[in-house]
Amino acid sequence: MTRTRRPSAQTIAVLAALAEQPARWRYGYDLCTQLGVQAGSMYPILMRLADRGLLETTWESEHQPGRPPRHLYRLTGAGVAYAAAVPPGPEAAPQPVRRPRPQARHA
Amino acid sequence: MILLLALATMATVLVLCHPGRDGDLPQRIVVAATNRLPADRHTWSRALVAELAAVDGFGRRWRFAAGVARIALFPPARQPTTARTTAAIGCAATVVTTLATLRFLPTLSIFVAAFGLMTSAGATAIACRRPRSSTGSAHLVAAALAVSGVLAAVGAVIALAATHPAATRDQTHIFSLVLAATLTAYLITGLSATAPAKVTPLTVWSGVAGAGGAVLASAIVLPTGAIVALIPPITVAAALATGTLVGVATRNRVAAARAGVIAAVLSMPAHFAIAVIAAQSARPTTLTNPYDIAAYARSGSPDVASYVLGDDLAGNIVSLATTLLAVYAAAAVAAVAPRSSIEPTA
Repeated sequence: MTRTRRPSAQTIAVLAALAEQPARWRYGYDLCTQLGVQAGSMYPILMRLADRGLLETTWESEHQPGRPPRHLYRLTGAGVAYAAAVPPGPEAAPQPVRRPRPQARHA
Repeated sequence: MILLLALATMATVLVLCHPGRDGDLPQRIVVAATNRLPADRHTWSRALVAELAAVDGFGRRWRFAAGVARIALFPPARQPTTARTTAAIGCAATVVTTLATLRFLPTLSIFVAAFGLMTSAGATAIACRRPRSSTGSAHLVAAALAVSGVLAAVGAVIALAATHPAATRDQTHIFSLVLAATLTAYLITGLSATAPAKVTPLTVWSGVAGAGGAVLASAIVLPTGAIVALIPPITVAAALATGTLVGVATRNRVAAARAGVIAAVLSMPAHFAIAVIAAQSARPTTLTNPYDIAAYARSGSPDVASYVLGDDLAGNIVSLATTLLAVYAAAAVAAVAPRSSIEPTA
């Protein structure tokens, strides 16, 4: 049976962010900061996309000394096609991490 | 119990803040949490640890660590339909049973609601972590024993509440919440013994045999009327005997400890039920003279039944549960690299 469940707004946002430059490898935390999605939500999304064959992963070959190599992500061909097929909902727009706090009014 | 909780908290803080460990507190949390991810997510464990190294800022690192802890608790399910179905059934069952309890046994409603919610969350977490591989018969028997023991304990409490409603009329609901949390912990720990990747069938069968032997010994002692006093020694003896035998047979300390813990965990809910029922039937009332009444008045319980329930709960089950949970918590926190200590699967 084909899965027809619509992805969540956050998943759509992740797909859209990755589909902007499909050939570019991205860090998970960079996606978190770009989309304003917490790591606790972002990585399960990435795991599910990878489980479904929509996302490919690799380890960075060049990394800073003293730091372990980081995981990199980009869409597969099927992932690019899936991202193009999923219509972006109005709620799926990426949100910045730090929103400007409204100025308090002083009477 | 307060002392044990304080000791567990202190042990956790000491382990987390031990200067010999690498990295700051968020890193230790991330390492410990990722070590708890299912084995088939090992690559993601490494990825999360590596990613934290690139996260700067106190608040950001803590938020990242909190997110990883959440992932460790509810990882993406390999069988999402099963996880969703488990959560839906658990929530529906909790609502129905809570409404029914409010109608027929209102003094137990807090306990039922808390127990239902915690059990549903635990079952969903287990469903999220469940691999596709089939479960062996030893693990199914252990799970059945855990479920049966907890159901027996809940049944004993319901029977007590039906007979003596005042027994569960706890204004602070502290006993209700503690009992719900304790039984949920027993259930989750017992069901976690069904994770074939971490425990060999020999360990599980040994734990099941130890628990069965302990319950059998309690049933033999039951007619003597001394069951309440004898349960803790029986449980400890069964756990020690099981652990020793498995240790001798396997020469593996981890396997021996796990078998002993499984024996204790699986037997205690059944023991709790036996103790509550036995205490009720053996001495339905202890108010035989004014001295008893005077002593009873200082017990802090509204009636004899609640005294029995509280005594069994605090004396038999909570102390052992808290000890076990403290051991597990300390092991979970201390096991920054537990994969090396995981019992090898034969």
